[in-house]
Amino acid sequence: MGSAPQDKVCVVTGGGTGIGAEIARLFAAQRYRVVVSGRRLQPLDQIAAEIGGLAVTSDVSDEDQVRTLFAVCEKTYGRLDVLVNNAAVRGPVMAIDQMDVAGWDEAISINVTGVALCIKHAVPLLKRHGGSIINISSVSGLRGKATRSPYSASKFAVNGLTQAVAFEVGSDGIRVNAICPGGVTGERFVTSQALRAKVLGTTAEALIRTQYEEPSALKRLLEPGEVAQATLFLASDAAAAITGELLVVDCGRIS
Amino acid sequence: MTPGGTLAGKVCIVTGAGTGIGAAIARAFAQEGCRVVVNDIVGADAERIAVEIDGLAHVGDISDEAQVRALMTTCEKTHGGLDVLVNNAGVAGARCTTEEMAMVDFQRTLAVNLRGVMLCIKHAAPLLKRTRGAVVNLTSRGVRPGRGDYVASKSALFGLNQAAAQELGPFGVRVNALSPGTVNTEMSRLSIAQVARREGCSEEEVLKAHYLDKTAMRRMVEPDEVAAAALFLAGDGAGAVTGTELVVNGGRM
Repeated sequence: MGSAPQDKVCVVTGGGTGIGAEIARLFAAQRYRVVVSGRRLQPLDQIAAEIGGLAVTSDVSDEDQVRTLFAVCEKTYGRLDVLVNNAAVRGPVMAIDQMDVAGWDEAISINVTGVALCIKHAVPLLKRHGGSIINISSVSGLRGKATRSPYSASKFAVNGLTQAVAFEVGSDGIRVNAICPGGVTGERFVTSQALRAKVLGTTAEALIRTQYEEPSALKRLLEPGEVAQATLFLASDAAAAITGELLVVDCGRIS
Repeated sequence: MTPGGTLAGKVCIVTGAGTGIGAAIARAFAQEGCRVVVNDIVGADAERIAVEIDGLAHVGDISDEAQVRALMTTCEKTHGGLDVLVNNAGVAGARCTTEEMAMVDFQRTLAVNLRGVMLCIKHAAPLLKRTRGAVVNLTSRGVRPGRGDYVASKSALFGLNQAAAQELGPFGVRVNALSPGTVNTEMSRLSIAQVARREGCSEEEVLKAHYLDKTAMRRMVEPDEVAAAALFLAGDGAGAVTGTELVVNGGRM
C-alpha cells in the first residue's frame, strides 16, 4: 500500500533526540532523504551520520533561520515532500499564579510560532508536487493538565493551526495533520514527571502509574518509535484522504 | 505494504463486505495476504467478493446473535482463530425526519448499526484475546437532518468503541473507530439525492455546496482510501493506538 518513497525528501525539526530522532531513523529506513534540524549541532550530527542524512542547525522560532533551513533543503535535494514539525519545549512546569513569563514566551514562540514559521516557508516547496505536513502535538492539546498550562496552551494552538492550514492548502495537494501522543517514554517524559511531582507533592513513579499506565487501556507508556510509525502512516499515500486530523496515539488513556 | 508491518497470514472478518467500503476493505486485507471472511446479509454479494479475493463467504445478519455466533465459529473452524474484526456492516437508516420516524425503522437501524457491532465484538473477543488482535469499527460523525436514526446509531458506536477499548486493552486487543467522510459509494449517492429532493436543487449543486466546498481537498473520499486507513489501524504500526477515532474525510470543516 502506498508508493515507494524513494527520492522523497523529509525535514524533521527537533530531529536530534527523542521522538524526532526516531522519526528521522524510520523515514531514512523507508528510503526518504532526511534533513534533521535542531538548535544543538552535536546530536544532529550524530543522527545525520547514522542515517546518512543532512544536519542543519536551526531555531524554529527565528524566521531567518527557518528560511535558511528550507533554502538548504532545496539547494541540497531540490525538493521537499514531508515536513515533520517535532521541535518543541516542555515549557515551565508550575502553577499559573507562579508563572515564569519568560518561560511561557519561549514555549509559545517555539511550540506555536515555530510550527507556523516552518509551515510558512515549507508550503512553497510542498506546493510543487503536493506533500504532507505532520505536526507532533500532544494529548495536552486536547485536554489541559495541571502545572502544564504553557505546554497545553501551545499544543491546543498547534491543533488549531493544523486544521486551519489544512483547509488553506488542501486544494494545493498538501495534507496537514497532527499526532497527539501521550505518555511517551524517554528522558523528557521522566524529567517532566519529576517536575510535576514536586509541584503536586507526590513522586514521579506515582504519577506515571496513576495518571499514565493505569488509566491506559494497554496499561503501558508508549515508545517513541510508535509515534514515528503513526507519522510515517500520515506521510504515506495510505493517508491520501486524511487531512486536518488530530490522531491520538496514547495507548487508549481515559481522563 | 502498510507502514510498520505486515498483516500477511492474519485472519480477518469484514462484515458487510459484499459492496462499497466493506468490499474495498476486504480486497485491501486480501492484498496484504490476509485470509478474509467476507460477511454480508446478501448472499450473492458475499459470494462474489469471496470468489474475487479467494476468501470465505459468510451469509448472515449481524443483528441476530445466533448468526454472529455462527460467523465466529465458522471463522475459527476454518482458519483456527481471528486476528482482525472490521465492523463495517451498517444500514443508511430510514432517511426521514424524527417526526416522521416509524419505530420499526428506528429499531432496525439501531439493531444493525449498534447492536450488530456489539454482538460481533462480544463473540469475537474470546478469539481476539488469544491473538492480541484488533477491532476496527466503521463509524460516522456527520450530523445531518433527516438522518436521526443513523446519526444516533453511529454516535453510540463511539461510546461502545471506547468502552470496548478499555475492556480489551489489558488483553492486548486494540479497538478503534474509523470515520470516513463522504465516500464515493452508492450509499452517498442516495444521500445526495435525498438532500437534492428536500432542497429542490440538482445533485451536482448539493455535492458542491454540502460536500466539496466544505472539504479541504475538494473531493470525495474513495473506498480504497478508507481501506488503507483500516489496514493502518489493524497493523503493528498502530500498536499504541486504541480507543480513538481516525477521521478519513479529506479535511471536512
